[in-house]
Amino acid sequence: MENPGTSNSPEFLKQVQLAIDGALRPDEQTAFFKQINDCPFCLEKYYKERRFKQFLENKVVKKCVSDDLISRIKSNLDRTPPQ
Amino acid sequence: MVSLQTMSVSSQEELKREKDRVFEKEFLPHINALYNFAFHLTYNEEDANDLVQETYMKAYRFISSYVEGTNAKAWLFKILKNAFINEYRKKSKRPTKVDYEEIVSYHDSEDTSYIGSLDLREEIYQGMLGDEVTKALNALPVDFKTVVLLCDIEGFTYEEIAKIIDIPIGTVRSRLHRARNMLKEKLKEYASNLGYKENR
Repeated sequence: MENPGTSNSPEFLKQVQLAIDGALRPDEQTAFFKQINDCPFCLEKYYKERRFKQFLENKVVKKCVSDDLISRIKSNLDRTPPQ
Repeated sequence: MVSLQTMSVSSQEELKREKDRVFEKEFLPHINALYNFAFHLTYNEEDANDLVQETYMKAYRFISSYVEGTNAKAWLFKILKNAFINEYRKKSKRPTKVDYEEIVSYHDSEDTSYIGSLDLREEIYQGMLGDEVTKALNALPVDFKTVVLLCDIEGFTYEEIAKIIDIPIGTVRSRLHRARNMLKEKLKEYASNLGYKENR
């Protein structure tokens, strides 16, 4: 088992975020998941960061466009010749 | 002569019908995502409307440079981001965009302690409302807010983000990392102002 220090290192946190964003190469991903499976603190950090990403996705207010804007855009198309 | 004119008009009409079809099928389905992005960039509904309208008009005008079936969403986001930067520069009357390097060097100088303070306790922020989280996000400098919106809200890959905002993938990676850290700090501040206590 690794100590909590590993899971708090800036480099490890960067790796966690890359893993969560699906930005690790396959070999890096394999090594990363092996590492966190051997280190409970690292695994906890991974889940925590993943929940933070989900939290943002769920909590940030989503705005929808008005029907009026869609109509305006469509009516303007006729006056906008494609180049 | 009359015949040629008729053919020309007819082929132009056919071309327009084809462009309209691509526009309707590939561009319009992304309008809510674009509006959401525009709203968070401007934090103003009227400006967001103008930005989205300008984006769609530009996309239509230059539709011939779009290849059907490719990444329409990323293409539209890139147009919107460029339109925003142009407008933002005009309004702020500044020759360059937000001084990202200045912000980076500030955080670089305190990298270790900064990272160490970011282990935000989940119970502190999980109870926060969407409006509070949105305010925290909107309080970030625009370059940092942009990467969070593109990655965490819109689900673009690093490669797509790099193309949309014209920066190398390595910069996407580091900017995103810093942006999330800054956001955690903001959330902690907001939570503290709202009376949440951190027990560490």
